[in-house]
This record gives sequence, C-alpha cells and structure tokens, in this order.
Amino acid sequence: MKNNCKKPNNGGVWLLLMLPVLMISVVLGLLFGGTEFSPAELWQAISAGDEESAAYRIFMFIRLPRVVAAVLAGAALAVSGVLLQAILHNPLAGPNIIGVNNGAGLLVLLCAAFFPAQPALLPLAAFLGALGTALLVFALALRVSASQIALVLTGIALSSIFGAGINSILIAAPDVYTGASAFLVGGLSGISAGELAWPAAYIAVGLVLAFALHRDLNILALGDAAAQTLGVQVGRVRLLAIVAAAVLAGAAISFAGLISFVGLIVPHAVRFLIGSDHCLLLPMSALAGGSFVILCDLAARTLFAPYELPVGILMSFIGGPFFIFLILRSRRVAHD
Amino acid sequence: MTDIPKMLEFKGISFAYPGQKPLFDNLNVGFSAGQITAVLGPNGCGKSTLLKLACRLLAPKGGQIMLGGRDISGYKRRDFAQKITLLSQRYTLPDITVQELVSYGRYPYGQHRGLSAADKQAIMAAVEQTDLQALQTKYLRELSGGQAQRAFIAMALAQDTDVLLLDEPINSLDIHVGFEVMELLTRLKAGGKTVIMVLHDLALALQYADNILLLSGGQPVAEGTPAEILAGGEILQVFGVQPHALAVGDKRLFAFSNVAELADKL
Repeated sequence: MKNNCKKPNNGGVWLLLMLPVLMISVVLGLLFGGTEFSPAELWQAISAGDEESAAYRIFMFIRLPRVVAAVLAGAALAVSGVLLQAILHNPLAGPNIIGVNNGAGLLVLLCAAFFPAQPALLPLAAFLGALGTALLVFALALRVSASQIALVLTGIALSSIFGAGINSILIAAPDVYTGASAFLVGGLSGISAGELAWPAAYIAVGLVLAFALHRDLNILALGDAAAQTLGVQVGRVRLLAIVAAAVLAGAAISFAGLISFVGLIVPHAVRFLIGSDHCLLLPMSALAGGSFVILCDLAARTLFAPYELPVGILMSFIGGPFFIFLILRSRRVAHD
Repeated sequence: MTDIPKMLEFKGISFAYPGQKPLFDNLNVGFSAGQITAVLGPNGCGKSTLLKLACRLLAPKGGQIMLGGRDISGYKRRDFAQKITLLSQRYTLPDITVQELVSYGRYPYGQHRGLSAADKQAIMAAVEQTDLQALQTKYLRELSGGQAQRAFIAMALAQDTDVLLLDEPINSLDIHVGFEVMELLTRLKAGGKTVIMVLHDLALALQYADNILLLSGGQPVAEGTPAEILAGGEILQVFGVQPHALAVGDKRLFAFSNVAELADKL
C-alpha cells in the first residue's frame, strides 16, 4: 500500500505529526478537568493504585473513560463524514447535516423504550437508524444530484421528521432515557468504560472497512462514470461505504449522543492540510477527529468550571458558523 | 470503408432512454482497429450515447456489441477495463496531483496491492507520452484546461487499453491546445491504439481522422474516409454547410460555408 500513499506535499509528514498531537490531547484531557489535581498527585495516586483516593477514582472512572470516549467518537464521526462526502460527491455532507444523527437518535430512543434492560442493543439500534437514514438520503440524492444545497435541504427535512419522532417519544415517556437532554445535544459526561466496549468494537470494524475502500473512494471522486470505466464496482463500493459510515456514526451516537459537526469540520480541515487522497485522509481524519473532540470536551469541562457544558453545545457553536462558511464558499466556487 | 479488421462493432443495437422514444433502432456500425474514427452529427443524434454503450455505461435493449470479436457483456469487469476506456466531457477535479491521477489508470491491474514495477513503468510511459514530466507533482487545480486534459489522457494511457473513446476531447480548450490534443491522438494511433472520438469541430475531424462516422437521428448517414465523406455531400445534408478542402503546404485544411454559390468561387 505504501506506494499509493506517497504524497509529494508531505502528507505523510502531517500524518506522523498528528500522532503526537493526539497523544498530547489525550494527556491534556487526562490532566485537566473540573477538579484540580497536580500531575504529581495524579501520578502518585495511580502508581500507588490507591483506589480509595479521589485522584485515583476521578482519573480511572471519570477522565480516562471520557477521553477514550472522545477519541472513539471523534475518530468515528470524522471518518463517517469523509465517507459520506465521498459517496455523495458533496462537501457539505456530514452525519448531522443529512439527518443520520437524528435517524440514529430516534432508533436509540425507541430501543431504550422497548428494550430498557438491553444496553448492548443501543449501538445496534443506532447503526440501523443511521444506515436507514443514509440509504434514504442516498436514494433521494440520486434524484436531486443537480444541486448540493438540495441534498442538504433534504437532510434538514429528514432531520426534522426524525427530530419530531424523538420529541414525541420524550414527551410521551420522559423517563425512557436517562439524561435525554444531554443525549440530544451530545455529551461525554458520566460515561463508564463498560459502556464503550460494544461501540469500540463497532468503530474498529467501521474504520477497517473504511480504510479498505480508500482506493475506490479516490477514484469515485472523478465521478461515477469515470470510476466505472476504470473498473470500479461503483454500486458495491458505495453500499459498503454507506454501511461503514452508518456503523461509525451509529456507534458514536450510541454513547456520545447527537454530537454535531465533527464529521464536517474535521474532514475539511484535514483536506486543507493534506489534500483529498483517502489513503491519508481517512487515518488523518480519525486522528484529528479524536484530538478535536478531546480538546473541545476539555474546553467544555473547564471554560465555565465548576459548571460543565455538554461538548455537543460547544461543537454546534463552532460548527454552525463553519457550515455557513462552507455554503458561502461553495456558492463562490459555483460562480467561478 | 477500408478493409482493416473491426476492433469494435455494433450489431443490430437498439437503445432508448427511459420514457423517451428509441434513439437507436437496429444500428450497425463498425470501428477499424488502429485508426482514428471521428463520430460527427448534430446535437442529440446519439454520439455520446454510442460511446457510453461501447464501454458499458449504458446497456443496449437489443443487439450485440463486439470488442475484439467478443461480446462486451461477456467480459469480466477488470478485463473489460483493460480493453476499453472512455474520457468523458467533464470530470470533477479532485484535490490530487497529476501523478496520483495517472496512477488511477492502473486500478484494473490490481486493486489491493501497491503499484508493481509494471504499473510504475506504465505510469512513467503515459506521463512521457503526454509530455507531463514537469507537471507530475502539480495539483489538478493548478493546471490549465489543456494540461488537465492531457493529464486525463495520461490516466487513460496508463490504463493501457486497446480502445480509447473520447467524448469531445477538445471542447472548451484554447484552439492551439485542440491541435496539440489531436497531434497526441495521432501519435497514440501510431502506437497501435484504436481511437474513437466524438467531435464538434468538423475541420479537425476531417484533418485528423482516418474514418468519419456521420450520425443523424440515431442512424449512420455516411461512413468513410474524409475524402469519401467530402465527395459524398452528406456534410451539407446533415449540417447544412458546404465543406471546402484547402491545400496549405503539404497539408489539407478545411473550411465551411453556408452559401452554396461561394463554393464555386473557392
């Protein structure tokens, strides 16, 4: 594979740089939080294995799962965004923009309502909701392919429909999902390591599948006809990419809630740095997505300490304006 | 028409776009191996559709298309992509370099490996043939229209097919670049490729093609060498213009007039 990943503009160097960035983000996420401990205090508590100390408990049961959750959610949502943008030929696509988030969210709440004692089913429900929505959007995209904005509007309409479903459930049965309001905006507080096991497995599968498609996705960027004349099985690639995108978004949503815009901001920033070769774009987006969500979550935890914002709110404050910027830019390109 | 064996043959092809009246009904045309054939005709006569049928982007409702004596529906996907390819009118330009684009041409030769020695050699040869050595590391968005067209032709060359289909390869290019592309295609023909292209520019078609296929309303109106087509008078019939051959040095160039009496004075 390495020959395919050679980049004249040092994309590989960026990828190598991203690894320490992620590691630094992880360390920052572990060191800082609403409760102040010095690094020495944390180190002492952990190395001594002092399970009774507050430092140990906060580190092991709050910060560590939270940082792991941020890495998983960030990587999954960013790669999901890359996949959706590639198969829809639309730079404005992202799991939340095209309704995948709300589709997954609706099934998560339905699952919680009908199978309250089966938390292991949540990632599966989120995956099915995400997959169903993605397939629906794609079927609609085939009809509205003339316009990128039309696809976004279709996504907004679907989001509203699913959002109405979500609200209906929460009004009819407010207790169906503990922390429903945090789920709706997306947040990582109170996550335990146990909750992450299943989603982590889904995300691992989704990332492997996504990377396996990198060459096909590159060629798909030339357009469907060109890809087909080069021998790409366009329909199959697209279906696999939709499944991978849904696995990733669904798994992230099942524990992090409806976090928005990660799948839009991260892939665009990464493309700006290294170009659109999926061989680098996919792994780089995964790493950058992880760092981005850790750092946003850290900001959400510490900016207004001791009060804590759900990271989803911060993400929307950043993502909304960024989305408008992308729309303005896409209009300008169209005019050129 | 010459007696050169046919590389690509349409036998009794019928085709209609969904909800529209048939575009082709029992179409029979052939394309000679190792020659440049230009497909001409007014808008909507089925020129581009012909190319799409030939490379399986569209499926005929009836009839057979033979490539190298074999029905195209019998080819495996990758084998087919090693035999014939199409350069469309318009591509979306991904944010990649010329070298990366050209390497995509090797996709049919091994999807899951890195580039083999043969792949690298084919890529290098394609870059040299299209004179893109100096632009290899440039991004597509940094290229001029003609350079980008050459890069896409290089990708098709790296694909190393017997047949190269081109849909309006010189559309929207500056006039001198159009000539460069035609000269390049002539060199490819000399290397043994069968080139079939849809052209709007009648003058360039008459100057560079070995054969002309004139389509109108989904049916071939005339097939033959440029000299035969000029002698036949079908250009006036199909396009409503009179072609004139002009000798400039050792070349024959072509001009067109829409007034029949002007033809006598020239």
